Amino acid sequence: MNLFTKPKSEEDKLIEGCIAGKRDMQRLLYDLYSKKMMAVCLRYAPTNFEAEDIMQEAFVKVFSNLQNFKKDCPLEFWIRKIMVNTALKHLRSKQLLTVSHENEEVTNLPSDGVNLSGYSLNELMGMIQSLAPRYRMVFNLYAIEGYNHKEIGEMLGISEGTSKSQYSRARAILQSMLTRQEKPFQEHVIIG
Amino acid sequence: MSSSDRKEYGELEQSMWQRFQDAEALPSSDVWSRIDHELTLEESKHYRSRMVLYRQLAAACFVLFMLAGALLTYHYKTEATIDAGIANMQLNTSTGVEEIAVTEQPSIAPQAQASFETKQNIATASVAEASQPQADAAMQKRTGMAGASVVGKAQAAAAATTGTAPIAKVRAQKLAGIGVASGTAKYNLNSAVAAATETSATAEEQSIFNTYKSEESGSMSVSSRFNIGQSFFQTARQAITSVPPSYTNSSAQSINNEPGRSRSFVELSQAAVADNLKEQKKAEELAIALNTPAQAGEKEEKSSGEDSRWSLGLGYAPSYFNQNIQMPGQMMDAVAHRSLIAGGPDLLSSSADNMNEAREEFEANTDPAFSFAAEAKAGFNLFKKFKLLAGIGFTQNSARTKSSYIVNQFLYKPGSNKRVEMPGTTVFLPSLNNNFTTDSLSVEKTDDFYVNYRYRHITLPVGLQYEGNVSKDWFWYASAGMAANFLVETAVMASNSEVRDVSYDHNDDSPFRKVQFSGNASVGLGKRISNFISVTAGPEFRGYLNSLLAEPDKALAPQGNPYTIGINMSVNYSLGKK
Repeated sequence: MNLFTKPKSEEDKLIEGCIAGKRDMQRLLYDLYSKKMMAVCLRYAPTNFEAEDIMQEAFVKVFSNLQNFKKDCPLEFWIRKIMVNTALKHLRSKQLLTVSHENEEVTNLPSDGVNLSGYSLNELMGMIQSLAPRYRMVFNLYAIEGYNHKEIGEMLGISEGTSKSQYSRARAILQSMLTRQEKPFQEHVIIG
Repeated sequence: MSSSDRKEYGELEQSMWQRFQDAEALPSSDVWSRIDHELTLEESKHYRSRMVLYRQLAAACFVLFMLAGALLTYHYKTEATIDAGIANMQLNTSTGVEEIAVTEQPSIAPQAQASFETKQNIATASVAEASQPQADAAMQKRTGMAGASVVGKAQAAAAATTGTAPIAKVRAQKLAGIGVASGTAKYNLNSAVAAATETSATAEEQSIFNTYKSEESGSMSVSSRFNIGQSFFQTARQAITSVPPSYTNSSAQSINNEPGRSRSFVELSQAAVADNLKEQKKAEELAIALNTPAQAGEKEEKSSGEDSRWSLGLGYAPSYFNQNIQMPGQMMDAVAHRSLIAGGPDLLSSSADNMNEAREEFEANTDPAFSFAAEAKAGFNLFKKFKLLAGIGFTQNSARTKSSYIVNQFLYKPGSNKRVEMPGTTVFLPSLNNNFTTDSLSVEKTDDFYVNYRYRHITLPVGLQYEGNVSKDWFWYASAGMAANFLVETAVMASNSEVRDVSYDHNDDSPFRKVQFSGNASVGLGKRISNFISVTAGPEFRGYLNSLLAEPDKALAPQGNPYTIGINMSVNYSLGKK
């Protein structure tokens, strides 16, 4: 119970407007976070179209469930979480998360010493998207989102060990790409 | 970011994280229009489901009020079928006059005397002194008051003398049937009389049938017709006098104390609560049934953890009850004893003093007794934190007085001029409206005894509750509402055998208000035991908007409004997801 109310921030007003169903407020929130969320979705989706589908579905969820946002974390983090979960669900529904054996020939590469400064974001995104869906998912969740292998295992329905091994393979593949300086097909406009 | 297993978190991961953490990409321009379209669809779906829920709410309220209305109608109708004669008899038996009447009339014919004992009616005494046929007629009149059976036979007999015996006989049988049905429904006395007259009907039917046959053959004379009438009177009288004494004795007792009535009300109130629970169960099933297809299609919404709209609650509130009935500052003594103004009963000076002391004792020694309210409510979430509540309940409010005075009232029986003592009472009831209708009274001091006042209501509450979170499992609530309270029983019971217990049913002519409105407010804490079950507890104030007396303006003292202060404890069950 909040007996002493504090002045509402701009974000609070924005959230309240969205909960009230004010379309202009919802548009404002979309404009505020859509670019960052599109980048998130692109890391998980194999194509630009699918990334947009995921983002659309996720934003509808955001607006429908905004009243459940507890403000115990930044709004951006909460929206990002919804994006990742929606992407997971999307890929699962397309059965893209089955274990794949492609790229598995790449093993035992040097574990580190890779310099990414020579690569643009578009190039790096292309490399990640070229990974098999399961590897891409594990790599994104671990390296960029910051989940640990136990959490990833629970999210993907695999064991912690499997998550670790798949991450190792994904990492090795990426390293291999970086050392070979492969430049996959780029179709995204990434603002670095 | 978790750091439990970051052995592999090397330079590559760091670089990737830094590059992608704030990366942005431009979505195509039509993404927003697609989101906008989908949101519009969601909203319309939401409004549709809300409409369904509002319809369910309206239907549930309608059913609830219809049920309560039907229940009350049933009670009133059941009681309304009681013959007016029974009410008169009740009045007469309660005065305790019948014993005197019987002993004072030694010249009454045995059969007529038996009818006295049976009907316990003071008025019959003067009639019984007349000739035998008149006594028979009086008996028939009394019997006719108790049930329709003898009336039917009287009509049949009359019809027989005019040659319409078969039709009259059928009518008599029908009426006798009605008499038996209505009599056995409520009172033993009625059933006894009706059964007795039914026995007489058999003999009488045979007699009428014979008459009809003789009429057909053309051999019946006027005198034989007269005999038929006589035989009817004989049989009716014999039947009435054949009523076992146990019926008459127990009837007076049972009408006086009315244990059957008290018990029936307990049962009826329990039945009312049970009916309400059944009804709410039905509403629950209906709500679940109606929501099932929507739930199937909205699994995502369910998983998002929205609160359910419908809930059921059972509440119990033990309470302190202040009946707020005030005694007049001046009573009978001022009029009857210490002034020259005529009109009040005779009163000794000591009795007048005792009366004043009894009144002061009432003021000082009236305390709350154990009172409670039990309610079953259906809840409907109007907004995020508001809940509309409606239901049915039962309240029993009690108070008690430690008393040591008994009021005895006397009257002189018209005609015989014999002094009759009425059953003892306390100062409470006669003081409410100065209802001393007797010729004299005395107030005597005795050992301490308790007088309990009990008011039972069936309530129909409607309210609004606001809930706010304190923590994950705990919440606070504040609620306010109104209720219509229907008085079903008022009882004044004394622990002294010399004082007569008084009980008023909802259709009795009592000095208490039949329908009262009350407002209530409560605040408290609640705990969520599970996703569906929560418990709440908190203090509750319930104030009645009127005094307990039906006509407070006629009372000798200004009357206050009763109120209760108690602890409301309830268990709530959420019926399902939105």
